Amino acid sequence: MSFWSRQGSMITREGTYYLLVMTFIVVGAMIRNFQLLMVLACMMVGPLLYNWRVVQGSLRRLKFSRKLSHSVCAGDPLLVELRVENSGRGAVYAVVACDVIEAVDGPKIGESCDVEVFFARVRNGIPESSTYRARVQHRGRYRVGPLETSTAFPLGLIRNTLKIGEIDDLIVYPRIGHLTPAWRRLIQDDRSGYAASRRTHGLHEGDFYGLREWRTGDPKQWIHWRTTAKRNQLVVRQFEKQSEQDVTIIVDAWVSPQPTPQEEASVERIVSIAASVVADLSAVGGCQMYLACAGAKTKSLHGSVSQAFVHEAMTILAEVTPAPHKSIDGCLLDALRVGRTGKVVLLSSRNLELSDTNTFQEVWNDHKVRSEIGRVICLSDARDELTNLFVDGAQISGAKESS
Amino acid sequence: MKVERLLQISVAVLAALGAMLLGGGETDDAALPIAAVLAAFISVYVTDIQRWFSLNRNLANVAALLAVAFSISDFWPGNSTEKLQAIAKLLIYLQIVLLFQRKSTRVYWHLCVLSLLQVVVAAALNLNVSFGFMLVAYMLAALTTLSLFFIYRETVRVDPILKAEHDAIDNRPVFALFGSRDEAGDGGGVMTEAVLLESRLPKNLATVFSSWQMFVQVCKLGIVTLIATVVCFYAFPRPSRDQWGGGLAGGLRETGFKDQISFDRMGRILQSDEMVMRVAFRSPVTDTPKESPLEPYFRGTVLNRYQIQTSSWITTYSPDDEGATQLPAAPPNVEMVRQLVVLNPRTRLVQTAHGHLLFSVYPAYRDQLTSSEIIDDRLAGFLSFAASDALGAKPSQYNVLIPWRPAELENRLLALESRDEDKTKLDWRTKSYLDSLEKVEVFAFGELQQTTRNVVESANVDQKNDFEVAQAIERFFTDEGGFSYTLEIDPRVRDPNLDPLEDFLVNHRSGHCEYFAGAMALMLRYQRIPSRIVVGYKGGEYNSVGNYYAVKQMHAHAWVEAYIPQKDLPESVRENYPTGAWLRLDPTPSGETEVVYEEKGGMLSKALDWFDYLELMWRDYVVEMNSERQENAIYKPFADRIWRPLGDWFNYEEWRLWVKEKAASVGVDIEGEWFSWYMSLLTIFCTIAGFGIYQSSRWFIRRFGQPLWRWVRRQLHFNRHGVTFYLQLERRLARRGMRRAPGQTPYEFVDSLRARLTPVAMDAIAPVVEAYYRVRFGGAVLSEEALSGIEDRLTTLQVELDQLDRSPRF
Repeated sequence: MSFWSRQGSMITREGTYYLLVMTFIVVGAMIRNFQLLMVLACMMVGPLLYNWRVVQGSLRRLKFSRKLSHSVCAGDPLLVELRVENSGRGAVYAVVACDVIEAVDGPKIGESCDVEVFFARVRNGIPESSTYRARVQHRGRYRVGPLETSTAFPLGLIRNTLKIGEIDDLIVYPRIGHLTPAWRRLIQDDRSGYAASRRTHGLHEGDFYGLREWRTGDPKQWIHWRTTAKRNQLVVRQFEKQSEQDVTIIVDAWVSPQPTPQEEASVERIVSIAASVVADLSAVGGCQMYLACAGAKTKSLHGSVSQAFVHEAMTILAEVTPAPHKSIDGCLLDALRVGRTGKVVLLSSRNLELSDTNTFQEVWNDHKVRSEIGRVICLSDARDELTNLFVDGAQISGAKESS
Repeated sequence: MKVERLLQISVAVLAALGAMLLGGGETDDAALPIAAVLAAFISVYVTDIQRWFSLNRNLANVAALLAVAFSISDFWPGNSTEKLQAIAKLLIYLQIVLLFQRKSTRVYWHLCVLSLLQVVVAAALNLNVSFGFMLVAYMLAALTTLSLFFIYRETVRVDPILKAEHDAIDNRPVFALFGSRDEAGDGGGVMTEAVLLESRLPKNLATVFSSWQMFVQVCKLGIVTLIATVVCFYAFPRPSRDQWGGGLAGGLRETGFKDQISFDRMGRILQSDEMVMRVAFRSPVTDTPKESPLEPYFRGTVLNRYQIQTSSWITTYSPDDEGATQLPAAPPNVEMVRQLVVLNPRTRLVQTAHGHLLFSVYPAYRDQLTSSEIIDDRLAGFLSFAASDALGAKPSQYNVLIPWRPAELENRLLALESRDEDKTKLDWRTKSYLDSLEKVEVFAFGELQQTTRNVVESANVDQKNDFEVAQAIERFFTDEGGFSYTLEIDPRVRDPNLDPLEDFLVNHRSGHCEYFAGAMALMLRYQRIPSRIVVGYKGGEYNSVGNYYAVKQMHAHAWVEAYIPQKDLPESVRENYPTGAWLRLDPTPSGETEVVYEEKGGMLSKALDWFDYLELMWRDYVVEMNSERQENAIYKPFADRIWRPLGDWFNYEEWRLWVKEKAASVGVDIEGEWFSWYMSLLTIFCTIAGFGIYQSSRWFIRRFGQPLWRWVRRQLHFNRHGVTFYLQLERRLARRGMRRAPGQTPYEFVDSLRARLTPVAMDAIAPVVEAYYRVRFGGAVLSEEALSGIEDRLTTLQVELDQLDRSPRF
């Protein structure tokens, strides 16, 4: 934050020095009765007054607005546009707008950073805009603003600061990584592929939707040979309503009361996997998904994967705050009750075993749900079970930048 | 052009102007300021633009230390002026060192502060009006520089690339003597930061801040600055009645006016263009200016003895207490003019036995404006300003009355007043003084004596008539003797075996006024005529704009006075001088002073007159502004014009007395010192308080002004038309969200409510609106009954509205 945090007109550091020099000359002039020194001292009064008068009237007629995307993935660049309009009579010069981004939810609550944008001239009736680039490294909900504008034109002796209460929200989604085929095989439903399609839709494959990699059970006639040759990997044609990959993801964002960096990194990794799954499914569409996050707060979302669902899911994942919670049992219970189809993937940052009846006491005690436990895949980052399933987004972007 | 480049040029101009201001002062070495000016512009090209050469910070520090050490050697042994000059030199050295460094914010600040210090020092060294002109130019350059510097600082703060470049300048490696282009940082920041934000400067930055609008801004700023300067300068109370802080600048330069004449020292000072004083003649009745038809003789001191050993005229006169008195009152039936003499603050006045020697046309008289501290030594014939000690304050200006005698002879005669009771006889003191003026070395100056005899004999005058003899000798010098006026006497024509005066008279016959006066005084003495030399100034450059004589060093002059007894005076004036008179004799042929005087006229002369007048104004109203002048020239006229019309309800004097009494009650004595330190502090306090009141009023008006105005308007509206009932109706409806739209008439408004209100409510409203129309536009006045009926209908409406609130909503 800039050091002119106070609102209204106030003398700057340079102005203070200026005033001191002026006082020195006045005192010298009075003690020695040097009238030319007095002329010099009086000559220093005018700029101070003029500066004060100009800054007083400058900001009153300025109207600022901010334009930015509602959401962005962590690590991705974001352009924020500041626009200013002047409804006053004359032009206003050298306006500095200080914008603040502060994390209000997520793993880095309270972290903030500011940036100053310089407007050389804002003429009457002609809007001026300027952009700044932001790159937020951590997921979460961020508050952008309030905007603090200031000007000390023309001499920098007096600065007028005005805080404009326009605040925007920015959701920083978790970093999207790359799911490996191993992941896909892992969550493959027993009924997936051709068999599942056949059971659901019979032989009517529906309209051509797109291409995807081959999975176990896909019929040979679906193979798209040209793309397979290009990619050196079996690729099949995908038809609308052809593939239902219902899945349940449970994120166990657990850290110890005194979290270590490794624990925090683990949480980020599993959140990133969950986000990647959501992003992956959004490309396929049509399937049902249940997402539950256990952290400082427990949140869940269930529905058909659509753009709105993706946004909701990403927001939940962005706001997951790691904590030493005990709600994973309830989460799993709800997931097994609600998400009746597909695999249930429990992503945990700790060394968690399904067989731990203490932790999953409610699940094991519920006889209806107990039979569904076979659908649950428990993956723990602490046991390093995610390495082959997922390539971190940071690694991908790092590789891109280095190349 | 980039803002930084403009700033570099602007700073160079500022540095050059600062050095020029110093150079315009009393520095003995003009080469250094010139070098600083050159360095300023060379550094822009070499260091800032091409970056061929730049001093490393460490080397610059070493160079600065060397400059300080070098300047200390000048500073330590000197007097105050020399100390100031040493400081001025040091400032220039430091400035040159800084100019050749790569510029960062730090260096820019240092250069600005150094430049300001140069102006501070120059203010003590340079008192001319040229300083004022240069100060205005400096102010414009400084404002431009400060504006650009502000923009530069803002851009460095905002733009990470510029900031990295700037930081690289301050962190250059040691001994990187020859500057290289610094590698700018990529400005990308550290990727490990949680949030990385970066902005870029707008593309129109350079265009905006090098456009004519910026020039207009600086001009506006300059005008405001000038106005504020004038207002503050004249409004700020002066604590002192002294005119000049003489400690530093009082002895900057001697005038060259000495109480003795040495014939080995002449020429240079007489040619000096330095101002000595300004003399104005004004009518004491109408205060209209008067121009003397003859060149006035401003008398200084009187020399009465010639020392052969040192070839110099000196004063050996010992005044007595009785001889030196206050100026006498002007005699009746003699036309007088007021002579106002304004001395140059740098003019050093010679000390006399009574105080500071004053220059004036003689004789002088007093009136109500004349200072009582002026002493007139009537016997020797000079004026002094009484001072308690040798270091006493000298006057800056003084008024005396002088006789205005257009007739030449009257102008040349100075009455010799007797202290005896019988005013027709000379007293012993005067006699002995006159005897001393006859004394000469009988055996000296043989050829001079012979020449004198020849002159008198050949003049065909009555040799017993001193008046005729004196005039004959004067004619010998001016017309007949073949003398020529020169300031440069060729040493080859001089006879070293002869006294310089005798040599002048007998051999080369060329010299300046002191030779003429010295030789003539000796010749008169050899004729037994008491004579003395008067040294002062003759004439001056008449300024037709300010109506005054500008007397400069070049107008320094020496002439002779010879005592003529009454019997030898012409009959026409004999009765006026019962004890004889001093006859002024000016043996010098027309010299340069007269030529200068006669060459007046034309555009150039007029321009010079204007400049000279400006110089006078500058001196009077800036350099010598003190509490007395401030009170007379600023406060009193202001008070007369502002307070007097308000005197009935606000008596300025009473208020002033009240303040004095209150101050005295708390132990502060401001009696007689209205413009004192206390009042200065009070002024500052009042200024701050006034500012606070202004700010509070502004806040109040902003906060409550509009609502208050609206309320007042509403009240006026109520009272004017008597339609309160209708406004009450609108207000009640508005509380239920039924507001009349702008441009909607009351009828239209009521029609629009039919869908929302019950028929009972509508029936209640309709007569109220009817009544409103009758009152507002028909000019009807409602009776008490009608008003009561309206009140009932409003009550009915209120009941209906309340029921409306309680009814269920679907």
